[in-house]
Amino acid sequence: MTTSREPIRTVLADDHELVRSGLRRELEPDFQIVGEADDAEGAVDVITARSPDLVVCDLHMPRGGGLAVVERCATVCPIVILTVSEAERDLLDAVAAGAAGYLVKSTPVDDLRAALHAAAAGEPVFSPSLAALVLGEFRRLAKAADANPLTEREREVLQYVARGKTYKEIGGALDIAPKTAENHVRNILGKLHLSRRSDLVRYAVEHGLD
Amino acid sequence: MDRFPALTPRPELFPTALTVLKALVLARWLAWAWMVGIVAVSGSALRHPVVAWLAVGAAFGVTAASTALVRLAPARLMHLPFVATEVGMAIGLSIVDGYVFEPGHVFETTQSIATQFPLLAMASAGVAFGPVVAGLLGLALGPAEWLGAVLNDFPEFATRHIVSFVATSLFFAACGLVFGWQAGLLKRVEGEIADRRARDEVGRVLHDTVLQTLALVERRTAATDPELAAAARVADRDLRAFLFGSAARTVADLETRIRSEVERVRRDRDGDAAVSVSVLDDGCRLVPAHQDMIARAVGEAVANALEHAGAGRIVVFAETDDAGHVFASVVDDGEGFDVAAARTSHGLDESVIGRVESIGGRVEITSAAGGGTEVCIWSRAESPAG
Repeated sequence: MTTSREPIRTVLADDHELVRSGLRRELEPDFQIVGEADDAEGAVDVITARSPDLVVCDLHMPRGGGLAVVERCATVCPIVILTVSEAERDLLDAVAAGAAGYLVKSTPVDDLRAALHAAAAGEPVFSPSLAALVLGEFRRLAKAADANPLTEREREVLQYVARGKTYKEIGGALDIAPKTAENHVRNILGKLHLSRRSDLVRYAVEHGLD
Repeated sequence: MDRFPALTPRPELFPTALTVLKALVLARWLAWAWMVGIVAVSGSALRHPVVAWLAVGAAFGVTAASTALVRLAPARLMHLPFVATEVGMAIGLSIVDGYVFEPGHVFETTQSIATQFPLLAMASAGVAFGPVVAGLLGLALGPAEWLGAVLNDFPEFATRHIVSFVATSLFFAACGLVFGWQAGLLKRVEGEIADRRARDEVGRVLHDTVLQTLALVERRTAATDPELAAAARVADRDLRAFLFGSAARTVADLETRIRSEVERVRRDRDGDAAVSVSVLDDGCRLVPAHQDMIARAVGEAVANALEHAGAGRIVVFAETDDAGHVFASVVDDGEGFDVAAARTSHGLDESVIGRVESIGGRVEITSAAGGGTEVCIWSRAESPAG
């Protein structure tokens, strides 16, 4: 990443001091850590006070957990969930709540930095395993509703993400601009957000109502 | 230390038992009220009203004691002193029934002052000591009825009377058996649920603490201390397998096959790439041998990426199509290679392409120097559309 850019003002939320100090060391100086919190309520306070460019947030934290932070602060700035959890429900709930990204903690440092830069720039970032889960979720929705809520192109893009492709590679493979691929992913997450947000919609989808 | 939730010890009473014990207390009060009613309205039919009211008092004592115990020490309701007292009272009431009423009462249709107490005693014994003990105790109710009839100055017993005593014994023995059996069943199911909860709880704690730390060690030491990173990775993997793996899934489906194949390959090799595996199995219709073949091919492609590409990240993805066929891909961010030359030198020909083609599938390998490699595997040669 270029160093000429302004450092990205970042808030770290994780209940493990060890994790925060580790992240701080790995992310500086590209990312300027402007606040830290060790629980959900603290994170909300710090984010509100500092209005950072980016939040890196653990999922399992005391007093509300990462989901509470996402639900309350997703409009302030992109929030990337960084967790050890690969549980399907955690992934889908975080995306549905409005998280800008979901990364597993074993992500190599360089990948992590690159992903956080992308997230700060507004790109949806997540581990390929999440893309696969999202794909699976839509298949289930499609089966229940007897109509695919994803367009063919969206499905294609999502499959590429699940296969570990970057937006640039996807753009090359499908002959579209990387930005377009990224927009598709954003739309997909938006659809997932909608489909999980409203129980009414879910009920209708599950029962094949329109 | 408050991050670690206290592990709750297995309670002496399984939760449903408490509900059952509470229900029994209520039932005892109803039986007792019924008993009071019978004694109160019997009037001149009673030879020994004082004894009858003493029996009512005894029943009150047991019922009140059970009420107190269920609040203070519910487990005691399942201990010998209380259960023996209750069963003894039930037998005693059955005997006293003949004594307190005018002769001829025993085989009339009028109610026994024992009311439902024998039945409740069977339930109590069944919950506390299981079907066999409760069943054997139930047998005692027949002789008790006989004794009651003797005290009732019943003139002489005909065969039908004897049959009636035997039937009483068998009925209460059966009640004891059924109550005991059901209680045992409940206990076992609840035990399993409790075990599962405890396991989940342990899993959650380890997940939030140990796995966090391992992931951190793995990531931080990847460049500086590959040996430590590898050790952390092995520990991470083994712990995950223990927590979420073998116990959760026993049937070998496509996902299990691919995951175990990838794990096997990783274990045998030094590469410290981060490997992510996701499988969307919407009903794979391949025969098991073909699923194995696909899994092996995927494993070999991962092995190749680990050995030759120097990859930092490997993504394995597999999904089934509407017809139940499989598409799998292995993508790495390694150095890439000349596909034509590597087919033979890396053994891709045999290990990947040969395997897949032997089951009628096809393989596509795309690689560019410095741009990583992608191995795509289809379980059939033609795409469904073409």
